[in-house]
Amino acid sequence: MHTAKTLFRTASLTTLGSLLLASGIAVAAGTAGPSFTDPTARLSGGTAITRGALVYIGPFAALTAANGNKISIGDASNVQDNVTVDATRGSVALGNEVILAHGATVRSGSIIGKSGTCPSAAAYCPSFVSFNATVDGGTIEKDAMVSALARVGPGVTIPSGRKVLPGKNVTTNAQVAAKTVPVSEADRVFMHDVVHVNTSFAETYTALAAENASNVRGVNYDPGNSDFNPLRNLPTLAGKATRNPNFRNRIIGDVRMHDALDDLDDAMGNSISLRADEREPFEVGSIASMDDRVTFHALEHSHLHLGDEGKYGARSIVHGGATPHENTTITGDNFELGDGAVFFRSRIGADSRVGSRSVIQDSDLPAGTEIPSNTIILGNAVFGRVEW
Amino acid sequence: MVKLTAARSRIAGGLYGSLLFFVLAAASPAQADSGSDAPARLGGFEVVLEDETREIPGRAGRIRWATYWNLAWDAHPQALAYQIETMTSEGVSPKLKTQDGTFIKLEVASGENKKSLGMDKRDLQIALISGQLSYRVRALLADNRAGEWSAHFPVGRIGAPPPWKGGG
Repeated sequence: MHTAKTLFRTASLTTLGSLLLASGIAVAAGTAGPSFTDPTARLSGGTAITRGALVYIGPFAALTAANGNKISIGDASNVQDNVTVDATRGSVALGNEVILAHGATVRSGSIIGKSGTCPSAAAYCPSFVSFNATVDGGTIEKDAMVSALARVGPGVTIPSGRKVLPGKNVTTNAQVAAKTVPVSEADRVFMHDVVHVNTSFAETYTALAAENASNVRGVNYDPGNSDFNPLRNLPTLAGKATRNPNFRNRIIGDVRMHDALDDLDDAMGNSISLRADEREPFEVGSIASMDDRVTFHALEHSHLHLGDEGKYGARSIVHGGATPHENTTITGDNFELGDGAVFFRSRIGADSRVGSRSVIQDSDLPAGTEIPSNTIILGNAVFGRVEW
Repeated sequence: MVKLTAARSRIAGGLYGSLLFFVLAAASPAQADSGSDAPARLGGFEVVLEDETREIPGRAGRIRWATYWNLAWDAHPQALAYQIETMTSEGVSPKLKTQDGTFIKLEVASGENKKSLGMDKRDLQIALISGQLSYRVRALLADNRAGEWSAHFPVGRIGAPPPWKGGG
């Protein structure tokens, strides 16, 4: 049995995070490989939009370059489901290993992952913009992070090694210290592995499309053929394995939905991505309503279990991950998630409602819970408000 | 069943440390392969949050601090090394890491601030990382065999968060 003494003795040893970073295990930029853009992504700007190797652009991402402005995307970066990149009033530059998570928005004049320094003087390292966060003409340096529903305003620089707290609105450089915390070794391991997962998606979705271009449209297979997901699966709608490349929304992999496709056609808006592109299934009860640009995503070893009669507002996100409930993210029946809200690695009982642009993360909430709009809940406690 | 204890100690050189132990008492001790077909299973897992605080020379009244998440397990008698899989909230890394040691130590929070503030925003930083990243471990054995994977251990978390009291 280990003791406090044993553990303290190890304190002077190199920690796992710095070992991984120093070893170069996690560095993906600079590696050749295919890039993949989901056919539902809308890229407007022709040659004004450029991308490097091993880039993954997810369903319904919208990239617009106009008026002589450009969008450049470096190697091993990813632009996930329902991300918006708007370069109509100024160019947007994304460096290597930039992660734009579901629903993030990057506006004209923003620069992400191009300047700053990496740990151990590495040439490449990730930078990260989280769920439904906005970079509105700001600069996010390498090894910097922006948490969910945060905003970084024009002219503001988030320096290497800093993480903007959830919901914060950083409008001046003088606010950076108060509205950020240091990026930890754990954050760095997280970001490097997210880069790896998405470069793997770039390769495996490319292979899936090469077999048959219709495989990456509508209701269809997950890519499989990766180390973490060797099998391919189809969604199951009303008990029936379903493949329909012509459906307007993307339902990918082992998503098991209560509703049949006709029911979903009625209940769903547009630009919706329900993505189970890793092995574990997720189960979705009947949908009362699902507005435009909703994203569901889960991963291997975690599950979504969503109750019946769910209502999901525009740009809302339900995301799985490690939880104390057998790694399952759970909502009870009659759950309502407001516009732009994020429900992440949590459980909530029946007849509950989360207001618009709120974040529920790593929490366990009883039936009948009412969370007001613009509220950040972390670990069952109110962290604060969304400031913008 | 789990056991939660706390300890605090002082280390020479102005370094203070505190430990919160979360001992997974239900975890079985490491099982030898014993020549049977039973797969090797790791045991004796402990999860600990360890705080370190130092006063900054020449900057009176200010401290530099860090919190580390430690996962340790009992050595398996037949293990040649240990393989680690990382799971993030965005997916499982296809890269498995191999190490000889029986622990993982990872910084989960840090800061530099006035001493009077203590470890400012420590709990918030840990809450943000909790569940974002988790590890599982298995033994690597002779003849290219591997033992059973352990459970997942979420980085930063040493127990369930306090119950919801309402609000917002």
